[in-house]
Amino acid sequence: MTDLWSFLLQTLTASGVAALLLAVKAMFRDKLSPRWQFGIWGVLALVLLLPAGWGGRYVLVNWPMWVEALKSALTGQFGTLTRVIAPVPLPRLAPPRTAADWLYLLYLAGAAALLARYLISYARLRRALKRGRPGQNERVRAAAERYGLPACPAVEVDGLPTAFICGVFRPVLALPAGRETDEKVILHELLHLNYKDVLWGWLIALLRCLHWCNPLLWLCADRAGNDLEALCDQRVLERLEGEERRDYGRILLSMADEKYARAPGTSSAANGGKNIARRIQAIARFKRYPAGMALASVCVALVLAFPLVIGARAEGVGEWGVQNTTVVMASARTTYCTTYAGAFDTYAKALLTGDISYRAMCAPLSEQNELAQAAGGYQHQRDTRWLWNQAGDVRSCPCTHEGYQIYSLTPKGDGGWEGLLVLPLEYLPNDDVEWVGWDNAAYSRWLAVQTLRAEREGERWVVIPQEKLHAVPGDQRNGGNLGLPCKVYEARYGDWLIQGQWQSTATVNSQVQNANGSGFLKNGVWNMTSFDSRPKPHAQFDEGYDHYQFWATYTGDPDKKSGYTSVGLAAKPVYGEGDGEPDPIAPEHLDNNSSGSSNWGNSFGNRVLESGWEDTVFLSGGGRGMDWGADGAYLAPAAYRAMFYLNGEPVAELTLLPVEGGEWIEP
Amino acid sequence: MSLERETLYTGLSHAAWGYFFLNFDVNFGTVSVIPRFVGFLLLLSAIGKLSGERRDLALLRPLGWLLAGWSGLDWLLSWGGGDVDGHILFLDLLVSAARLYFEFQLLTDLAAIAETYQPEESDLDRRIRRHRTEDVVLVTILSLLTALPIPGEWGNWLVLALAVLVCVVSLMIMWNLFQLRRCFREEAA
Repeated sequence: MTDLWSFLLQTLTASGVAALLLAVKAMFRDKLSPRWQFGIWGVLALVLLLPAGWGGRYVLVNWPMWVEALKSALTGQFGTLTRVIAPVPLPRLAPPRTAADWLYLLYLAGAAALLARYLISYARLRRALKRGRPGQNERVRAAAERYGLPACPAVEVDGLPTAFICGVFRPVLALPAGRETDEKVILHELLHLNYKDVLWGWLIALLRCLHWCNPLLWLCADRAGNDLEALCDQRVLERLEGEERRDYGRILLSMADEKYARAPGTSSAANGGKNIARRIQAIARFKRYPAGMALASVCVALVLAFPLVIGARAEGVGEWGVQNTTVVMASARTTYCTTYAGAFDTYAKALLTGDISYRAMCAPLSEQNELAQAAGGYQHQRDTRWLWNQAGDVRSCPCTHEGYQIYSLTPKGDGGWEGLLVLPLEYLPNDDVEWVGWDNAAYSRWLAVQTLRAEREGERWVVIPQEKLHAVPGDQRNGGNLGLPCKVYEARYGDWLIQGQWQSTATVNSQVQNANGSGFLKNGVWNMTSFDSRPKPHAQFDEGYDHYQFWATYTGDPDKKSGYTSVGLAAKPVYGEGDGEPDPIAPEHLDNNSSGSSNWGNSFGNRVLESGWEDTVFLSGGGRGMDWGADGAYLAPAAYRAMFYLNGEPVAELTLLPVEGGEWIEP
Repeated sequence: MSLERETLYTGLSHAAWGYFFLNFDVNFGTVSVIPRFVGFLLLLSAIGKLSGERRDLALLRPLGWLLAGWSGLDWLLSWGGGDVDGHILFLDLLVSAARLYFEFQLLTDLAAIAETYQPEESDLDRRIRRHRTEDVVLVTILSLLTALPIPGEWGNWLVLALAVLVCVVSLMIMWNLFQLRRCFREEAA
């Protein structure tokens, strides 16, 4: 916690969990054992010790969003994101400037003062115990032996109302001087010693210091302390029989009016009249919990613990129809992209829908103020004009239902990713509202394209456009799209230049099934799908294709062309050192026009050269759906290994190496 | 059949059919024709009829009403195409924990009744306890998978398999409760 807002986020997150646990414990008060009643506080301890909002998640209530909204409303700033780096307060090095800074300083001072108070009271107690005299050690050892528990030195101290254990590393059993302490009270304290309950006491005290100004968490700390005592009572009762149990209840009853002042680092059977009354009620209910109840207790604890510790990922409030710009922008900032694919997807959908909050989800924090201003200027956060105008000068509309593609996705050495965003356009790029007929024919379709870079900004993935959006003529295909970039490979053999090109596309699957009817009695139409324009900020690319093709160009003396009757190539992509040679072309394919490709990117092609053949001969091509979940599936081949054939005979083993730049063409 | 046995017989019938309503679902549009709240009401009725035999059962009444109310609200909202799940996580978790305990303890108590009334050679009580344990473990795993889903199709298949197992276990529980009910009819005869 480094500022007031991160403290607020941490303490509110814990408060939600505390409220739920108090409700659950009230529900199960007389149903689950004291072990469960104390153990379930472990969930709250975990939440308090984990930085709130980690991984873009929230617990029970979307606190990160509300804290951001409050901060923006009070400061007018949108360009920061509250993060909890550690669950403990870290001092600020800069002098306080704002009211929030001063309040954080006050919080730090309070936490330090309370911690100092605890440490001083503990030091005083240790000093007082040093002044005590050894006593009743025989009785303590006898009790320890009888119940099979560890013992520790006992000292008698004047004026103590009751016994307690003090210390973790060198524990001492403090006993009231001048009277013999009952063996059952000694048993209670030895059980505290055995289970190292003093450690829990210290943890509770530490959490009190961290959240000293949160009364709900103080209430929980009190309850946890009392549950620890009730658990110890349970352990005592499990070791006693019949009349001894009733005696133990009577001893507790006698402590009900005793003054108690528990210091951190101690454990004591007495914890105040009201709590003693509760413990006596628990004793009245005491039973050895039936076999199997432990399983139910663990299951109930797990069902609560997982969602409370792991939390949930936020969804943008843009989907709820919230109109308040401050809340929407806070939601966008906190619903950030956790994957580069999610960032590309969110950016693309911002352009497709014109939703400024989508852009805010994947925009650097430095751009948030400008985006908030723009969002505030429109009645709704959705307006294609602003984003579209910012992105470029393409005066047309994207085909929202057709989605988008990212071409040539490439990892950069610095951890970032680059790719070309491609959006099919509805009309001509000059805003001429004339419907454009399109098909698979070359250059029949206008596309808006923009090179994007995704990079990390702390936990967020953000998208930084590398150029203005511009229109290019392309076609309708998902891959092998004319006019769009691709990787080109080349090798030379004599008078022949052998070339290949490789193009990849990626997208996050956003197709959703529509149901125009539902229920088994209705005539539902289940197979209609449509493009879901809501961003998927945590997505991975799960749809991708690659396309490749090879051709050979004769560059030699035209008079010698007649010496060639056929040309062929078998090629195999090379991704690493272990990739082997391409399979040779089968003999039956070497005297005719044939080609083929495999799912692994291998291909072969053979062309019979008839008189007057063109210099450039198309050999083979193919494409495949890629397994984008596989590591490195998006990478272009480092090279192609190929066997080159002339006149039906293999003449050379070649390595086609990449050359700079390239655009998909069809020879 | 004596009045007391008749009451126990009816109570067990209600418990068995309660389980059916709790774990099986047939929808008419978005509205369930086997609403879950009816299941809880049947179980509450069973608790009323069996609590004379097993005092601890009465402790389950508040939880039963909470669960019946929550699922009743869900059913009412379903008429408008809505539901209660996922809107208030606080209540979702509270209800999940309550339901887990409610079913576990109810079956524990029903097993105890079986232990008292089953014929000597029968092991109905052990079977009910075993299915109770299977049920609570399966429901817990399903809940955990909701909080921490396994990505991909594999996760969906796992959830489906677990849901089928829960249905099978529920059928086994129903079958055993009907078996237990027969003890009272036969003894009366």
